[in-house]
Formats: sequence, C-alpha cells, structure tokens
Amino acid sequence: MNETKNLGSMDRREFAKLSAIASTSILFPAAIQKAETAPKEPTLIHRNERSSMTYRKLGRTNFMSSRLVFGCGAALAGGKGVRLLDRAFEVGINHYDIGSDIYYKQSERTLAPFMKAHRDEIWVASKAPLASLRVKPDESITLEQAKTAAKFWTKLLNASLKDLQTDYVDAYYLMAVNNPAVIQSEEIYQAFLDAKSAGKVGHFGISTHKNAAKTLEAAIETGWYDLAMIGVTPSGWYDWDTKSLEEGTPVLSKLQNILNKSRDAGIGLIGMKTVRYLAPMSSAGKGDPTAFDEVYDKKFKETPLSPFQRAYIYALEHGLDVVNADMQNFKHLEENITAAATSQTYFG
Amino acid sequence: MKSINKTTTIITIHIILYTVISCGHQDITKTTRENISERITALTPNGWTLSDRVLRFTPENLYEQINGRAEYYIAFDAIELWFASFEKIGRNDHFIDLSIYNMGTPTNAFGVFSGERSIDAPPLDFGRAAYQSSANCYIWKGQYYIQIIASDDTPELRQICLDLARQTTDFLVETGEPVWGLNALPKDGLIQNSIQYFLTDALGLDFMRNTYTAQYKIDNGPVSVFLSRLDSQESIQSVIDQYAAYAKQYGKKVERLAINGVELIICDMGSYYDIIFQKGFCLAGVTSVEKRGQALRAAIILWKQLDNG
Repeated sequence: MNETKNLGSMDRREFAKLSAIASTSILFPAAIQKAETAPKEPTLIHRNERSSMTYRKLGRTNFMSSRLVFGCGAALAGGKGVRLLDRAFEVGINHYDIGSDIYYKQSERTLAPFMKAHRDEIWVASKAPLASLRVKPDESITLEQAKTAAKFWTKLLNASLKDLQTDYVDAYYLMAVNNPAVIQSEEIYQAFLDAKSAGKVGHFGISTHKNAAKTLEAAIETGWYDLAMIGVTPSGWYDWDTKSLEEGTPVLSKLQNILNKSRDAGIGLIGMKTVRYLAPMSSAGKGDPTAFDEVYDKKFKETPLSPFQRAYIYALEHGLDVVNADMQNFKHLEENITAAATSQTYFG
Repeated sequence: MKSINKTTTIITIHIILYTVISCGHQDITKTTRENISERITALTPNGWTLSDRVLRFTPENLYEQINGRAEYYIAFDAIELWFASFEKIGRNDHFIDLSIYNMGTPTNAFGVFSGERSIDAPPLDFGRAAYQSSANCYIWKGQYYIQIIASDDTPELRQICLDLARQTTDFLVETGEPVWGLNALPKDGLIQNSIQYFLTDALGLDFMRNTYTAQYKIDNGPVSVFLSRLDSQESIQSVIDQYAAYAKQYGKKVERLAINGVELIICDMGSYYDIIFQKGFCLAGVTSVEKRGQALRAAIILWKQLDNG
C-alpha cells in the first residue's frame, strides 16, 4: 500500500541526503544488496510531509498524497476560506484540488499566491468539465463532438494555468464525466498528451459521480488515467443527479473488486462527496447524520467521532487512497485533519 | 397598440414576478413557472434555438446543474435557478448558457455577485452592477444574479450576450431594497469593487455571519476590513470571544488595548495582525495587516468613520 505515517520533519532535501548515504552501503548494506536483485522501485514524490498527517501513494503518479485532500473549489470562492490554506499546509496537507473558473469562479485566482509560495511543496490538481459535450451516460459520441470537447478542455486548461499564475499543474482532470465513450475518446486523450508534451500538466485524471462503476471500468481499460476522483460513500456509490445513493449500489465494502482493479491499473483513488449525504440541507445534503450507520459495526459506531469523521475514516480504510473534502471553515478543517490522521487506528 | 401590448406585457411580468417573490418558491404555481419559462424562451436569439426546455432548479437539485458549485449559492440561501441553453442552429458547438439565480434578497444576490466578480473586467450599465469578461456577462439586479456564458469569445457572441443581458435585466423586477453594508462601509480609501458580502463563514470562521469585507488603501498600503451588524450585545460579545479564542489557538498573542477611548482587541497571528472592535451594534476590524502600527492606525481610522450601526 506504500502508506507512511509521515517522514517526521524530514524534508525533500534531507530525504535525498539520506538516500545518498544509503547508496554508499555504509548504513544499510543488506538492504542495498537486496535492492540490487529486486525490481527497481519507482521514486516516490514526497512533499510537505508532517507528523500530523498520514500519506498514501496515488497510483502511478508515485506522489505520496496526504490522505486529506483540500478541496479548494467552493472554499476559496470569493476568497473566504483563504486563511484555511496556511493551517492546512502547517499540518501537512500537500494535495490541493481545485477546478476551472467556469465552475469555481475566482477560486483558482485565490489559490494562486499560496501555490506560488509553496510551489515545490504541494501537489495541485485542477479540472475542467466538457461543457460543450452534451451526451447521456450511455450515448456514443461523434468524432466532431470529441474534437470540439478536446478543444474546449484544452482551452479551459490554459485558462486554469493563467488563473493559477503558473505554467504547470501536477494533474488536470476531465471533470464530472459519466460516459465511457467520452473516457475512451482518443481525441480527448490526445489533448492531454499535447498538454503534457508542452509541459503544462503531469497527469491525467477523471472525476465522476454518476455511472461511476462503468466509468472507472472504461478508464481502467484505456490505461490512460493516473487518477480517479469518485463520488462514493460508506453506503456505496453517490449519484449526482439524485444527490442520493445510486439505486441498487453495493455498500463500499462490497466495491473492493473495482477499487482494487483500478489501483492495480495504476489509478490513484480519491473519494469525494463522501459526507455530502450527511450534511444539512443548507449544505446540499440530506440532513441525515445517521445515513451510513447501517454499514458500521457496533464498535465503530460507538467511537467518539462526528458522523463526518466516521464516514471519512471508513472510506479511507475501505479502499480509497485519499479523500477530497470541501472545508469552509476551521472547524471543518480540524475535524477532517483528525479523521485523516487517525483513520488507520480504527480498523485492524 | 404595439406600445400598449408591450406595457401590458411588462406589467404582467412584474405581477408574476411579484407573486413569485411574495409567495416564496414553495408556493410558486405551475402557471407562474410556465410564464417565466415562456419569457426566457422568448429571449432566444435569431438563428438560435433552445437546446432543451427552460429548466428550474431549487436548492434540493441545484447540484444537477452546477456541480459542486451549488454549495456556494446555497450558502447564500439561493431560492431557485432558471437555466436555458441556446444553441446556434446548425452549430451545436456554439452555445450560450443563461442562468438566473433568484437569491431571495438583494443582499444575498450581491453576496454571490461580489464573490465571483472580476474586479478588472469592463463594467456594463445593467442592473445595480455588471461586467463583461470575454463574451460572458455577469449582472446583479435586485435579488437576482444573472450569468450569461458563451462557448467562445467572438465579436458575434459578445454582442449576442450583451443583447441577452439587456433583455434579461429588463424583465427582472428591481425592488430597490438597499444593501446595508454598501452604505455602512466608509468611502474614504475604499478600493473600487472590493466589497464582498458573506452570509456564512467569513474569513473561514464559522461564527462570522452576515459579514462584509472590503479593501482599503490606508497609509499607502492595502488593508482588509470587515464589518458586521449584530442584533444584541450578547451576540457581539459572543463573536468577540470566539474571535479571541481563534486568535489564541492559531496566533501568537491576543491583547486588549484602549486608545482614545476605543477598545481594541489586537490579535498577533504570527505573520500578520488582526484587530477587532465594537461600535454600537457593529463589529468591525482590520485583518491580515503585516505591521502592528499600520493595523492600529487603520483600526482607529475605521472606528472613527463608522456609524453605530
């Protein structure tokens, strides 16, 4: 799983120094000998790791992401949550997720100064919807539609870079896709490859919260995607349109096959909308804090956690590498930090 | 005759919209909704078509239309969204999306508008405030926030968006109800278009509600200011106590200081200073000021310029 508690106060420079010492075989001769015969391990990417957070490798990106991802889109709208960023960084959150200005107006611009200040210490992913492509989940798309969508996505990627005041983002997603034909569009993938070869983006991903199982299967089949942000709760897939659980969804513990298959294909799994269902109506939720209780065992249900913390912890310990949380104030942030930092202590 | 018909139509629309406003969205009749839908349909530009029917979303299903962005509008008590997408006939990659958010009050409409505003975009003379960014138009009128988003930025699309902006703004009702903070915040040194309103979570603090923020130029430097009006001394004291507790937890030091009879709470946050104070039923302060002296001067200036709420 490549999970680490942390690297303590070790920064990237210190880590590199330690690796250099190790290479002299003075400290770890046995390990070095083993390494000579074992397949070469990929170099992991470490950023801003602190003892107050836990980390997990995100698929073939090899990035050790904080298990709590700061969802910046809504929080930074109008700049209201900008103070949360420093606190998030201070506790070791190294993964910041945002979205195109077409959805989250001004949020990328609000993130820009923070990103500039910590450019080599954090991972920034953004995303853009294929708003020009209006197809249902089971429809096929024409070549012309795919070309237009690819052009649109590229335009929004360029706009994101401008708003973030950078020339590179670590990952850029196809936002809110639910159609396997779109996922498997070579024209859209070519748009990513062009952006990558131009040095604008490192990794390709999808975000999906409808038809997620089929969408993930399609992504796995292509081998093109390194990251998948999926709408999922302890009780199963989250359905965007109904803002409820997908009809007939298996609970999360029964979704392990598809999640493992994704991970085996090198796709890092990022949960989203995990607690939306619990949130009050005023936060676009269902206002039912007990909604997932039926999937928890007695012991876990009795833990002194908030329903939100319990849901995040359960998701993190049942197949998700990390969770993306929309946090609007310090109270939410602190709750979620605790959940992500301690999740591994709740399940054997 | 034509003029009479136009007048009749406008009066009818006003009556319909008045009914919408006064009844609240729960009580909107199907007939009323259909009429609004027809009015939006009638905005379809020549040579264009509606790609679907006019859609109406409430806080319960706003997510279906605007994704995770829904929470932003719901946090300002959005009542409903009317949405239409126009497509150029024969060119379905050319589209213009019209979104009309009914935010219930001008204050909430100003809140969403101000949070999304591009300060440097050229202003438009529609509603209470408006601007155009690329071909897209953004307008605040009364309790409505209107977004007109085009698929591309071409002279043709710019003009169609402007026409749509004008027509949409014309048919929406303006109640004239003032937005308190826009008048209450001092004008001296105020940086244009910098005022924002947050119904919840201002500064990322869950106890900061109904709060205006603005940027000022004081002592030749930018200073962030906040202002809130509360309904009782107990409420004000509660917010002050919570702010001090927040500053203690995340900052270095909290001190109370009286200067010329003005009681200030100075929060040393490590790399910047926040200063908060009460005046009448107003709670105000300066935030994120790098130097203590500048923060103090700015707080005193603000205190002097503020009314008692």
